[in-house]
Amino acid sequence: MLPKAELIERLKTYIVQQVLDGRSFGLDENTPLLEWGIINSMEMVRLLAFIREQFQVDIPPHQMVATHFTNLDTIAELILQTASKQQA
Amino acid sequence: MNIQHLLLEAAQKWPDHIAVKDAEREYSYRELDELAGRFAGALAARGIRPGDRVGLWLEKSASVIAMMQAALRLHAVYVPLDPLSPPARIATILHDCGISLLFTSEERAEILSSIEESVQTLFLAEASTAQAVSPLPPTHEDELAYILYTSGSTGTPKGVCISHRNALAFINWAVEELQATATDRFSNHAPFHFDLSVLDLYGAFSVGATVVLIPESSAYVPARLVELLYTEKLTIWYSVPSVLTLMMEQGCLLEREPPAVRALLFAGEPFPLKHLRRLYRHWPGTRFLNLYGPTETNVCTFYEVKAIADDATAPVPIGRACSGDLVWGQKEDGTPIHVGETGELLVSGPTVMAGYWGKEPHGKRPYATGDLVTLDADGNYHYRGRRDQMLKLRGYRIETGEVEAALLAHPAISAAVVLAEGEGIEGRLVAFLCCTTEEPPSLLELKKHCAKQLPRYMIIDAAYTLPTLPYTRNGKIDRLALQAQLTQRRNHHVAKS
Repeated sequence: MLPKAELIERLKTYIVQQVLDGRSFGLDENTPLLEWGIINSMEMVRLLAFIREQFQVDIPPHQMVATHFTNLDTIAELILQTASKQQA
Repeated sequence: MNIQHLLLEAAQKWPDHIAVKDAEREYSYRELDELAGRFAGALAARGIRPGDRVGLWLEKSASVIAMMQAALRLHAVYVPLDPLSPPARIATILHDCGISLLFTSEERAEILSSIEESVQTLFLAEASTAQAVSPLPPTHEDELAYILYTSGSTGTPKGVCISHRNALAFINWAVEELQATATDRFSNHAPFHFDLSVLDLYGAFSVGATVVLIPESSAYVPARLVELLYTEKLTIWYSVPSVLTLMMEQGCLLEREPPAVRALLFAGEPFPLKHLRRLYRHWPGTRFLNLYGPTETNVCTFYEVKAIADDATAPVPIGRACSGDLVWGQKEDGTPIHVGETGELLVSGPTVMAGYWGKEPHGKRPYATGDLVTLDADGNYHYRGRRDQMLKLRGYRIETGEVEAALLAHPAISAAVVLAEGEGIEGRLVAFLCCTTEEPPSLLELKKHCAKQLPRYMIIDAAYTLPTLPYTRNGKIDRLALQAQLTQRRNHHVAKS
């Protein structure tokens, strides 16, 4: 699995390019994604598909809670944890 | 009879039935009743009097329901607030209806205190340890029971005041139409500040049934919703169509055997027929009911789906009036529409609201919905769109004026028009902007700005900057031209990819 910083960078590129306008460079690992309406229900579905394709990580339904999608940092953490469980 | 008597009577008749299941645990009718009694004691100890407004700003739980009942037992009026709305908007509503006491968490109170210092708060710990008090005898049915805030066209939310008479007329109709019984298990998908939840909660309490609260965090996670539908063996499901579409498209709903659901209710927006048809055919033992009505009228019309033709494409009708209400389409000249004609839907009857908070009472006047309808030969009404700038996105009602006002508060924005693009789960909120700076604010900046004042569902999904906005010949912003631009951009985008 990629290191966390790299995961965050890839997620950030995805969100800036695919969800936002391609020039929202102020997005960082602490930007509140749900609170600012960046990730809504539809975007969540796309984001999960992106995570599956890019990192081969399938987030189980019981992990799809708001606290795991607060910002890029918590999402990266979730990916790392899910990946280590998938391997075990 | 008042709506709080539904729970009071259920606790007598079915004390051991499960009333509510929330994310933590189940509560029998006896337990919920006792909790409401203690909470009423806490409210009384804080000096809550008949007519006072009690705000509820928490994620949904059995405690929040108990606090609604506690307020009603003292003849106070409860005001459920969106747990996902920013504190600035909450403060606006607290001021608008003069909330005496806010039931919330310490964490939320802390966030709110930076904006609003004067509001009195009540936390769960204090409420749970209070000495129970007995409920007051029933108040007049025309007294208010609760206030639901909806998006307002002038930029501030509007408080829709619902009396006991209004709510009971709707609840009784629903229970009768559904033939609900104590063995039913109601879903509660909608948040409490959204009128769909009234049916879930009070429908269950009317007959001693169970209502299963779906937490906010799962509300849009299709796989979790499908899981819940089956594991909780829900028999009555009520949600906006977008949620059902998501469950089919992303939650593999149609790959499973039909569930225990005997009645599927949907409302808030048209259900795209291609999705409805698939679900309808997959669940042959389920009743499908399309309910219609703005917050101001509760549900005022309904239509039961009995067949969907292979070649049909138009959404199913909104149907005809629920018992007790009168509905009709009215032409521009004030005369009623005939078969085949289009006009604005008017509603009159017991479910029509008492009025907006702080405005003249609505009285016996019919309520003009702003929705355009056509009457068919069978006597059913069909929804045709809005007369004004109100949008429906994923079941949420959005006055574009409110979003535009929020955008205009940004120093770099000189003009703003907000439109919807797409429908159902694909629906997006798009802004056309004129900017005073060379570099327009980024979408991230705009979202951050909107999030300070608007609930999440009103935050724009995309923004386009124009040198000037198009105007019609009589000087109004040409929304149709902008809508056409949007379609063009979309087609161009589709062609490109």
